[in-house]
Amino acid sequence: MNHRSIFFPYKFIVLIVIIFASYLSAKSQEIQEMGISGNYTNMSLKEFFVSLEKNYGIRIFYKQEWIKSIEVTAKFENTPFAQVLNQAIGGKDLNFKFFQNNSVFIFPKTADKQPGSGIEATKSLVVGDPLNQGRFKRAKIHGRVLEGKTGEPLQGAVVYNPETKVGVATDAKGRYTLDLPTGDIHLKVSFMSFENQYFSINLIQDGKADFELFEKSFAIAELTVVGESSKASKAQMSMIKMSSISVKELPVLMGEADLIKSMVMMPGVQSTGEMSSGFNVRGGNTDQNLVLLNGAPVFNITHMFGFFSMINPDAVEDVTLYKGGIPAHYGERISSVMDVQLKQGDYRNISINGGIGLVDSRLTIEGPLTKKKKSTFLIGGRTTYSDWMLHQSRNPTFMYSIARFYDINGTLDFELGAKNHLKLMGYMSSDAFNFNSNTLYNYGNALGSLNWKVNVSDKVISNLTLSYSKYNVTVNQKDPLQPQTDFTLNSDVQYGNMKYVLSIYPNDKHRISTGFQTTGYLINPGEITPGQAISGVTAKSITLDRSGEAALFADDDFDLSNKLAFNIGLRYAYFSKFGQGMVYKYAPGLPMSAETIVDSVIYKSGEIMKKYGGIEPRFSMKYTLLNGGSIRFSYQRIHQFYSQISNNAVISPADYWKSADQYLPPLINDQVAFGYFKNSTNGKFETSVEVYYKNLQNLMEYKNGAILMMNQHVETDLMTSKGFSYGIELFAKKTSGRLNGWLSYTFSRTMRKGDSPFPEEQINGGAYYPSVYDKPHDLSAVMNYKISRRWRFSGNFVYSSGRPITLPEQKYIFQGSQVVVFSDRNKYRMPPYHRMDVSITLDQNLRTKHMWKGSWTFSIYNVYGRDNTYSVFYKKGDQSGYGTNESRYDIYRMSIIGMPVPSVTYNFKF
Amino acid sequence: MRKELYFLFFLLPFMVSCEKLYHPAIDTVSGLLVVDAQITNDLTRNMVHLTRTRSFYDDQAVREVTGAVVTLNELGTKVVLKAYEKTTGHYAFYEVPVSGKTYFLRIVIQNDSYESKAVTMPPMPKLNNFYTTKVTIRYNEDSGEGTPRTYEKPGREIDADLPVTDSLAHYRFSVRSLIEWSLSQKPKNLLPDSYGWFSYQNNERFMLAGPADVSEPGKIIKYPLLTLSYNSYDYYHSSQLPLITSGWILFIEQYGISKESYELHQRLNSQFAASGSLFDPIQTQIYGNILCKTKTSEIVYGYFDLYTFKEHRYFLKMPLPPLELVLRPIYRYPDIPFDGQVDAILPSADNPNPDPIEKPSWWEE
Repeated sequence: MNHRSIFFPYKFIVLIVIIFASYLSAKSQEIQEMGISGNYTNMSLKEFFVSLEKNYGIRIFYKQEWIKSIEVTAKFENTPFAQVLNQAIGGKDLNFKFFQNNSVFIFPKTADKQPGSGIEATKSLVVGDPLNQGRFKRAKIHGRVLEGKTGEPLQGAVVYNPETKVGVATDAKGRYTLDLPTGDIHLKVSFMSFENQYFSINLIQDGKADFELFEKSFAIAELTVVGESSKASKAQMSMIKMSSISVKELPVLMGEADLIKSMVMMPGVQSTGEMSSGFNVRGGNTDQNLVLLNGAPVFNITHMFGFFSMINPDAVEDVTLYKGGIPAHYGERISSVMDVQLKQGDYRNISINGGIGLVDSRLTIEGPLTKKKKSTFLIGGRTTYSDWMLHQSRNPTFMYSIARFYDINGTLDFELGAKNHLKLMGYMSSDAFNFNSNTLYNYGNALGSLNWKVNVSDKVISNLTLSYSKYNVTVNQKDPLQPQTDFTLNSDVQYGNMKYVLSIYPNDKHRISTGFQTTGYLINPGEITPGQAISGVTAKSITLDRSGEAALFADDDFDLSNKLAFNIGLRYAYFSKFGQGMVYKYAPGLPMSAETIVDSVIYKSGEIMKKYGGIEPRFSMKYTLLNGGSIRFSYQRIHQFYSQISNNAVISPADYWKSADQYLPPLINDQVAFGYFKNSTNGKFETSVEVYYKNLQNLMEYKNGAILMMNQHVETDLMTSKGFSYGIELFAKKTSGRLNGWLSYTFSRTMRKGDSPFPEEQINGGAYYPSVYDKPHDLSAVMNYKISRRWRFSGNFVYSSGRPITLPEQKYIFQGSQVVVFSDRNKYRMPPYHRMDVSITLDQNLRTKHMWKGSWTFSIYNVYGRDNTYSVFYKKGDQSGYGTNESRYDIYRMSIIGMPVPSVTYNFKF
Repeated sequence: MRKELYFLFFLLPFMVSCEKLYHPAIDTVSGLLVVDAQITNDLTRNMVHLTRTRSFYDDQAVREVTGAVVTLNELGTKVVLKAYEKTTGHYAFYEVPVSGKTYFLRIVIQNDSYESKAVTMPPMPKLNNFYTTKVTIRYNEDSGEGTPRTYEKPGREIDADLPVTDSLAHYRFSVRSLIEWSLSQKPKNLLPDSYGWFSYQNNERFMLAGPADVSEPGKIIKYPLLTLSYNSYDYYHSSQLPLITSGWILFIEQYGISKESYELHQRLNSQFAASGSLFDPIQTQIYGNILCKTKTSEIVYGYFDLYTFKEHRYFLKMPLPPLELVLRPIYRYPDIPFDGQVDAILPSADNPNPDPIEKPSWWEE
């Protein structure tokens, strides 16, 4: 067992499986399915009910005047109770509702049709215990609005009470809460392109009611929600929210929906490359994005070097990306926060869904965990069979290659009474990938989180999250031509976090959130062992990096008027690095190098080696214009105490993390953004323009010739730099109709400038130069067209400027070897990147109620076979020099997918 | 065939990644002077090579600079060592510089004059100690299933302790290890039928030692020169396994260099390491120590290096314990080919009693 491992998420997965098995064995009949037997002739309904209560232990609530003069004549033989009631009171003006699993409430249908309500009630409900009828004057009704076909939550659905003219929109999880007078009320539940539903409700006390909506019968595009969630500040800007539905609509490689590839279609978000292991937000590095899975950070977000997103699309409820105006309860990374929420299991029935693709398959099982349906589970997983298929081949190119991954995710949701909600999440993944036949990468993530939410009162919500994340990587290099360079490299990072948020809602227009967060990091930067006995590689390990981060935060979200809304926040971030460890001291007035080490200081275990702290103001405002549009402004400051050390010759999962220290202060980002947002009056179109400017301090930059891997004093090869980014983001979207989609364009620049006072360390003579992620033009177009009720066509096109690169410009012979003279850093650019993908999906008949529901997706990735460049590098070539002993070096470019890739996937649910 | 097509179709996306030669448009800036000045205490090794840079895509032969006037000038005196053009673009000296004295290089090409920074000739390098230490060589071999397994085997690391003084604190090494073997066709033969040898030498990188490796003030302790496995079969091809190992001859070329030369060679190492691998350094720009005096904006590449040189040879025999290891210096310095073999003359009708086989004159055992 690894002595540094502090949590094993697979135990958690096993727990989920055990609970699921227990559930299956314990499942019993529901009251409505209880068998009733007996012969009743001209028996009054009251006597009939008394008989049932006596013989079957059922409690039946009614008023005498509702049932008088009704008689029952019927014979039942193990007839389900619901059917018995239908037969007994069918045709009468009575309705019934089961509750508490052994009770039924009988009430008159006349209450459904109150004059003046203006709506036609179609379903009746009782909320609360009838014994408490009349006890409360007001009550809170809460619940979820779900898509009836899939059980997925609908965000933005409206629950409206016409009597009080009060309505509310559902949040990302489809949840709503309404505070209404008790008694007979009506609710209208609506959502764009779905059939409206009307409910007559006898509201007795606080309680829950979930609603299901179904698509309208005419052909129309599925729902795509991009916009504010109900819990986000009204003043929030620079935020992208995508539902799982919209993610699944995009055509992607190998027919599988992909969270990351969907997100990079949005303005200000750029892919790092063809098969990227990350993304860039407003010119930021990939390590400046905090990706959270139910509160636990993910350190590598892709499988197989980016072929697949790490997150099973079937398990995702929604994803929110903050590019700016980041709320005060988020910190840790300076560019963006991507908050991925996994789905809560289906509370109604056990359902299974999945997909079978060419290379991988996935399966997700979800359902209620207990009879009372107050707890749910969801467990899912994906795996590839590519490895097995490769080994079946007799072609050596295939059979000696390795390409496999799997991931398992699970959530457990417990509703512990009316006020407590507990959510557990576990995730683990494993990858093995042989990238170029000489280097085998093994890497994996392990994540777990626990979220405990308490509705302390009507106006106070407490939220505690504990999370853990581990990322480990092993690189095994084996080169038959140069066995002396073979090696095995191990590194990992472990993260533990506790976050507490207390939210107070004084009124509908005011919310205060405050809390704290503590985080611990344990980083193993690397251990290397030679790959064989005769080796030029020496076994070596780098000292463990121990550190912690803590934060206090508060924000106040309020409406100053109907037109003006603010969010003002403050966060204090504190960082400390702990021993044991050694810090080298360098000669003053000289560049840091191994040569200028003059002393060293040894720190004991737990001793503070270095600490930093800083205040992070956050501010957002929104002003609503007369034309319905709005202008918004935001400012934020964020500190980042951890950076990823990345060898930019090869983008690799082996890049390792490093905490701030004596020589590398934390990154600081100040960002201002200004935007104009306008939606059409009919809600079909959304448009926005945002401009931003980011000032960056203490960026990590690599010195000329820096050696980053297995470097015990890596600070000698790093230097700080300052920089800035700016850009304009244009976005237009058609949200509904048979043809929908969006167009986004971003113009941006991101520049750097070295801070070193030493001329020999200056980059490009001390002038500003483009960051490696400076891609000025970025265009994305996404289109969905509903051909018919069952056929749907999707397509997307992306274009972005090539990434800056440094190339050799001249060469000469020195001591018998070829030496090159490189250009200024990032002087050149890779060729522009562009690609088009298409897909067509055949859905099942939406109206049919078959248990098994399936769909086929046919897609072509990179339709016109663009040979996009993934990376450009300089290395020794295959040919020797011309008549000299000089080694021949050349420039190479690597492309990943330079041809159209067709795929077919079958997705199912039952 | 059908099966292969199946795999091609299903797995193509994972297999289409490829490296291609890339020819982006690059600015043409070429023809700048390159000075490769290697001047040492060994007259046969002294040389100043003058060439011009070529554009990266230029595959023409190296452009030598001929007709230059090259001098080595002692700083603060009028002592000038004048070079002659030994071959095209190669300039040699009749004398060697003196340790402890400081020199700069001056080159005049037509109307342009170039001068190097001043460099002090270091003293002769030496080894304080030369010894071996027992080590466990750890290595991993892939099981083929993606799960590497660690193995260990005994070996010895050949180390040196080096002096660090005010006048000499940096070294460069070149190490060649020569394994001597013999072969007896018949076990009862008193003399082997063949003597042979071959060498290992890693010229991919410069071996550098400097105060960064200091473990005691005034010394570089236990500088690792190479590691050898006890099992000499690790070094033979499988077809050579019956060979008997006589021992190793270690050729240690030690250079006393300046701090600036040490840093230059570190940068060269970084640039040579570029192989598209995980451990590639960031692009390494190599700066020289020579300026154009007549056109100050003109960049001059290359380096004026002034160093001292000494060769050490040792014989090493590494039997497995409890047999004793043998490590002794060799004071003969004949040229020994990189590899070779001497075979006994077999009796024939013409020569029924051939002379017995003779070992090479330099043979050690």
